[in-house]
Amino acid sequence: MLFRSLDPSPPSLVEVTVDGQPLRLPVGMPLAAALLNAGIATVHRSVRADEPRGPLCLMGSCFQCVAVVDGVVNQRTCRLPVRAGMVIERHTPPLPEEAA
Amino acid sequence: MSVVIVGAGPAGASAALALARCGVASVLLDDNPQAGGQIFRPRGDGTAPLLGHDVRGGTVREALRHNSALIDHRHGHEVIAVYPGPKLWVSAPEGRAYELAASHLVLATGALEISVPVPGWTLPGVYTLGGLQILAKGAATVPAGRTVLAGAGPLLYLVAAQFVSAGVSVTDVVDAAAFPTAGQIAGMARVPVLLLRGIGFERTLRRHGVAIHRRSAIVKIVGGDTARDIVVAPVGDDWTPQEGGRTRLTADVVGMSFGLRPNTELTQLAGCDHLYDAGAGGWCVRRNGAYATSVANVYAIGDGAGIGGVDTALAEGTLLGQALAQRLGATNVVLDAEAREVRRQLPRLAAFRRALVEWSGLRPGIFRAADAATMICRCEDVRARDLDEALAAGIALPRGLKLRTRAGMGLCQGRTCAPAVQQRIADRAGMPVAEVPMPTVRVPLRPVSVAALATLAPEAPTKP
Repeated sequence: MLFRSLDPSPPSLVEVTVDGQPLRLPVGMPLAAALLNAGIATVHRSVRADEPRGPLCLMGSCFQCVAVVDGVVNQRTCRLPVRAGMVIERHTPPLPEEAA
Repeated sequence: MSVVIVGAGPAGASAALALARCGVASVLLDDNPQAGGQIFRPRGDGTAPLLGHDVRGGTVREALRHNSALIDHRHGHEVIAVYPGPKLWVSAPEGRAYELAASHLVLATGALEISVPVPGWTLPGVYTLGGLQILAKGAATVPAGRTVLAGAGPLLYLVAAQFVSAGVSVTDVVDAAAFPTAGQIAGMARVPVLLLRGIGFERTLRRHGVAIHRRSAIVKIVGGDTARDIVVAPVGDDWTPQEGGRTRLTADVVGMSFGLRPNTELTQLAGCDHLYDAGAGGWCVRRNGAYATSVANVYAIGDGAGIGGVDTALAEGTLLGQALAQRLGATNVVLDAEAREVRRQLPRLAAFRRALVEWSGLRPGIFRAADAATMICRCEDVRARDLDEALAAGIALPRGLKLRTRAGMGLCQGRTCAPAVQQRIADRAGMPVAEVPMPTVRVPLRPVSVAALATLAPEAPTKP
């Protein structure tokens, strides 16, 4: 596990979906932080080199934590609070030229 | 009359509060869910952080709430463009956008961290020092395993000390700077409370048995899905990594960044003049003693105008707020004891800052830690050798390099890679980085959906 919570009180968990799998995360916590707490450090793969990427700055600047959330691409997970029913997809489709 | 302040960190919030004390209304735009910026960041539910708590953050938030009749604080609102007027385009929650005209525009946009690309820095498990602190403050989340913190500057020691005090296993601190000289310590002593804090951090690290590697830098990170093995090298006077004397460390989490630079996106879009000031973090907006930029009715304060730290940001906000209120004809302006005290502090804070920069300010050799295959632009996957090929082909300006290689053209718009790209251009040309033209910025500053832009309409002006 890369990260742990300092909070002694048990968080209030809600169910979300990550890559089609159900996962319970603390409601209201920034999604990037909740995923790190759940052991998920990679939130997308890079556009050309297809390398694993995850959050870097956690303040909305670097866009390394982007994922597809509820069907919307390029959502900064560090800025989205966890909500019940969120659908998160970590897969980034390759560029057309590389898929060909 | 419509005063618009961008940024609800220490500078912007204190400007809004100073205006409100004089009876002047303002709109306070901020992209975060809560006021306070990064330094006063609370937990997601607004409560005090479990680590790195600064009581001033709660005080500022309480004061903003208390003055909500005069301060229209709009959280989650991101400025995506600035046009002459000045007029702003704002991206708001729920896929909405609007245009906001300002009679007076105060830009308090804060700082960005300086990242230095090294082989493996893109691996998950590597975060900026500020990013780790934001996780701790905003989400009570800290590294669970072995943690190595690296870079330079006060944040390195602050985060390390906070983490070990919270039981995080920080094994090593890797600092590019040398131990401060007697002269630097004397400069820092101009603000004794800040020097004592620094000494306190150092003691905490020693007490917890943290190994401190000075004049050293991480030059390589290796891992599978996440970071694991680290190579540390000694650095020379300009922080160029040396071949000999390398050591190996292992870690589950790596924190690494090399100080702060002003976020100049909005002052650039507003058309303000800028200058290069290494002591204030690099490119800064040019402003006069009253915090006015070269563009009429556009002001800049806090770290976004030049890195000065939280105390300077609070002071600049208070002083500008009072001056603006006076200019706007507020009759109940009290140039009170607080403002006089604040003004008295500024020279001491500036002396402290000079010593801090002399000790730990970014030095150009550190960028030589990247090898040919190192990713420089993480958004577009542009490697050092891609930049070098374009530079060898005679492209010498930031804009040309961006068009040729796509470095800086991705989702982050170059906010992360700009310092490394600028230094690479300077090295190739054999000139100081200060002489490389400033990187350009483009509208929209953040991705925005066409559907949101289609809702864009001028907001009805507020009555004075």
